[in-house]
Amino acid sequence: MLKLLRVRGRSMLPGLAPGDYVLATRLGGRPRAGARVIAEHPQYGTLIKRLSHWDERGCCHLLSDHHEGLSSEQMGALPAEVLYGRVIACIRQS
Amino acid sequence: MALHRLIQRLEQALPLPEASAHCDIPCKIYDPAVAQINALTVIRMMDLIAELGEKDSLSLADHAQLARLTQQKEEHALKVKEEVRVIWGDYFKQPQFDQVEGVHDLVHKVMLQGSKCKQGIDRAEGVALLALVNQFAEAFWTTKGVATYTATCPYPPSESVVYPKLEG
Repeated sequence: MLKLLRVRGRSMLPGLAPGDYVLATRLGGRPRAGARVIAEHPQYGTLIKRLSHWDERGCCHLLSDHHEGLSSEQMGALPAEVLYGRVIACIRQS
Repeated sequence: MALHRLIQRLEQALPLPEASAHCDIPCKIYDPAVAQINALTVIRMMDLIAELGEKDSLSLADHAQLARLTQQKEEHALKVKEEVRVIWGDYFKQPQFDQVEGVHDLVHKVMLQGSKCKQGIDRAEGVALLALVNQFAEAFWTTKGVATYTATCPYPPSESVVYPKLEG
C-alpha cells in the first residue's frame, strides 16, 4: 500500500526540506541500511529518518541526515515493528 | 515542481499525514531567566535546609523533607549549569564572544560554582552562584542590546537579580 506524506522539520536536509512530499510503501521485508524510512516512534510519533543499521538483537537504529536532527542515541534501538514503510519517491517543492 | 503543486492543491481538500523530520531546531529562544530562577531555588533550598537544622531533633518526616530539599537543591544546581551551557554553546557565536570579554571564563566559573552548590549547603556558595549567573545574564542582555537593572526578587529568598529593561 502506498502512502503520501508531507515532511515537517529540517532533520532530513539537504535531501528533503519541510513541505516536501514523500511516497512510501509498506515494507516487504527488512529495509537495508541507508534507506529512508517512515517509523512510528513511541516517543516522537511519525518520523522520516535514514535507517542506520540493524543490531545483533534485531533492533533497528535510525539517523537524521542533518546534524540538527534527533541523534541515533535519542531515538534509541527500536523493534522492527516501528518501521511503517520505505520512501520510494520524493516530491520536492523546488 | 508541477507535481508538488498538484499535491498541494489536492491537500487542501484532503490533508495528508505528516512525517516528522524531527529536529532539534535552533529556535532562537534563549533567556537567562531560567538559570537565574534555578539559582534562586538553590538558595531557597539551602535556607529551608538551614531551618530544619535549627530543630533540636529531626522526626522521620523531617528526614524525608531533608532528603527532598537536598535532592531539589542538587537538581536545580544542575539545571543552572545546563541552562547556562546551552546559551553559551548554542546562542553565543563569535560576534557575541567579541562583545563579552571573558565569557568563557565566566561560564566555566558557573560550572564549578554549580557543582559546589550540589556538594554543600553553605548559603554563601548559593549566593555566589546567583552572582555569577547574574553576571552571565548581564552579558547575555548586552549581546541583545538590552539594558539591565538589578532588583530584589519579590519572593524568597529575596536576593538581587539582574532583569532586562524591556520597556522604553
